[in-house]
Amino acid sequence: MYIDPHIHMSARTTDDYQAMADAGIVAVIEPAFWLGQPRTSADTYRDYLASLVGWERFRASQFGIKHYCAIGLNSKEANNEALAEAVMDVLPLFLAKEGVVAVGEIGFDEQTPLEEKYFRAQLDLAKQFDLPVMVHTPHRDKLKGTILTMDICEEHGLKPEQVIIDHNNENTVKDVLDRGYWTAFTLYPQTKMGSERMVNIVKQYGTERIFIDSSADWGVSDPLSVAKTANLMLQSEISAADVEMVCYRNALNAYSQSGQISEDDWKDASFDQSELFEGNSVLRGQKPEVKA
Amino acid sequence: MTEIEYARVLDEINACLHHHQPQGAQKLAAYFDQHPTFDARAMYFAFGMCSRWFAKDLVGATADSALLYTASIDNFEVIPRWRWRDLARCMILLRYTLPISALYSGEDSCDTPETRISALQKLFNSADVQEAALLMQSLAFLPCVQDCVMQAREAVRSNVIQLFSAVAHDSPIAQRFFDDNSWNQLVLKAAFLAQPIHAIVGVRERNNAELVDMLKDYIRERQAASRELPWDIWAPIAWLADDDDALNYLQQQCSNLPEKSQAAIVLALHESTMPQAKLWCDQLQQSMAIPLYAQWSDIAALSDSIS
Repeated sequence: MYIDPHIHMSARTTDDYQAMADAGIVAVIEPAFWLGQPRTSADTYRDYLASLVGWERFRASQFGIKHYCAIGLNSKEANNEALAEAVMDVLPLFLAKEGVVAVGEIGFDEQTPLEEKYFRAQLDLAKQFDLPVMVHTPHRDKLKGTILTMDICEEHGLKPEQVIIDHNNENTVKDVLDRGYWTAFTLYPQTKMGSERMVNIVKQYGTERIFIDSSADWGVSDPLSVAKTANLMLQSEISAADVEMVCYRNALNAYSQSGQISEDDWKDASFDQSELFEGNSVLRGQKPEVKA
Repeated sequence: MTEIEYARVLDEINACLHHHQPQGAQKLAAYFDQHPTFDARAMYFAFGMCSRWFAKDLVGATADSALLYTASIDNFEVIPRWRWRDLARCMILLRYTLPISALYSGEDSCDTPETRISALQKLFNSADVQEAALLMQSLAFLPCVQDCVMQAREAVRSNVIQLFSAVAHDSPIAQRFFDDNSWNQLVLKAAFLAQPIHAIVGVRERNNAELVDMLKDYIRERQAASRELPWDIWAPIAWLADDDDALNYLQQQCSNLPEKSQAAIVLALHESTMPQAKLWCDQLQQSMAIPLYAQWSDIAALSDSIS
């Protein structure tokens, strides 16, 4: 059993869902990150957030995968102030919804004053709604941006265990681990991390507070990278228990602080009977048709 | 149709929540106290927080004694299938929309009836699947059912089965307020989604000749592709069969169908109010030895594989 705690399923096909289910992925977390589309209106963003908690969750359920999401304003949109203000108005409508496990993905891109303003405002929202925070660390000036991010989180009274720092690499891992934050790695074949590098990181740093994700999206990326990296770890003499920590348990522990994700959701199919899409009575005794 | 006593429903649900979910009910009561003018923004927040304040467990039959009047108007028995947080959300919607009711005598707070309706629309547009379905199922208990036809139309265009079913099987809105085009779309969509047709609210009362033509066309298309058909797609056709052509059509089709579909044709003919239908029904039964089931649920319970 694996969890992919960062993947943009809205950009993926049903073939991906099928392959992920076959590879043992039982749950996914989709952080809000506006699709690669024109970003001009808060209304289209609201529709995107509504589809994260609605249609995408339903789509995943058709393949036996539980879908959760994180809700937030990305740093790239923060630089358009009028749009950012309008989006900030919309966020409270979504943050209390079932299955919303974090505020995210938020953080820095260019590290502008506007990015910082809306990052801080969303840390306050996380406290108000009692949710963990999923932080996207910048591609540029990464170590400096990551340290600044942690400083600001602490300034706002968030504890390190409430914050997941994502997209780490060999240069950031030590600082993030040392300060007590959840330390996530994105397995992105061509840019961020490769599976072999990840094996070395686990061998060097162990498994405490470390987990991996695919961040697969609409670009060249691999929705099976969590499962593939798990296999490579097993072949590289990392124990099954350690692989479970890095590919399942740690992500679950980090995001279950929200109270919105639990093993029961996928282990006990009868846990929430009203979510059964096959209906609740003999009267509705037909299975939903899943188009091939 | 007698006007529903909305304030009474509100009081009953409130008492029921205090009895079965005291912690959540107290949090909600405190929130109401903090927001005496319960405007749209306050409503959105309370609606959202129900998932934190109330349990995920199903209401079940436990609430029956506290909800006597409410249960009596719960024609589709949705409340036992709700979770406690859904019941609380229904109460919040009722509290927010109560000033729209003709019987309402209290003071209106800040929001106009138009504001209240558009707030419900905004809530629907930002809802997750469970919330959107709950909104549709709640319409039977709210004084604004006719104002939400657009949202119900959206819901039955959805491929999300739970949302479709909330309107088609659990709400009076389609039967009462959909025009014929909308109605026919709803029934066809049930066939596309392989959801029960016989259990659609008002399926017999709203049946019409144009729909029968559309269903026959759909049947031709599926048969040309050698695809399966819903067993109960035959019901609306047989209910309206009133001449020799219609009989011949059903006779020809029937011999090639699985037993479940045959049983549907026989029961629909038996239930038909057309003078000749019962005779045809007897003929069909005799020539093909199809049993006459007492109810649609009896046929629905049959295995699909019986042929």
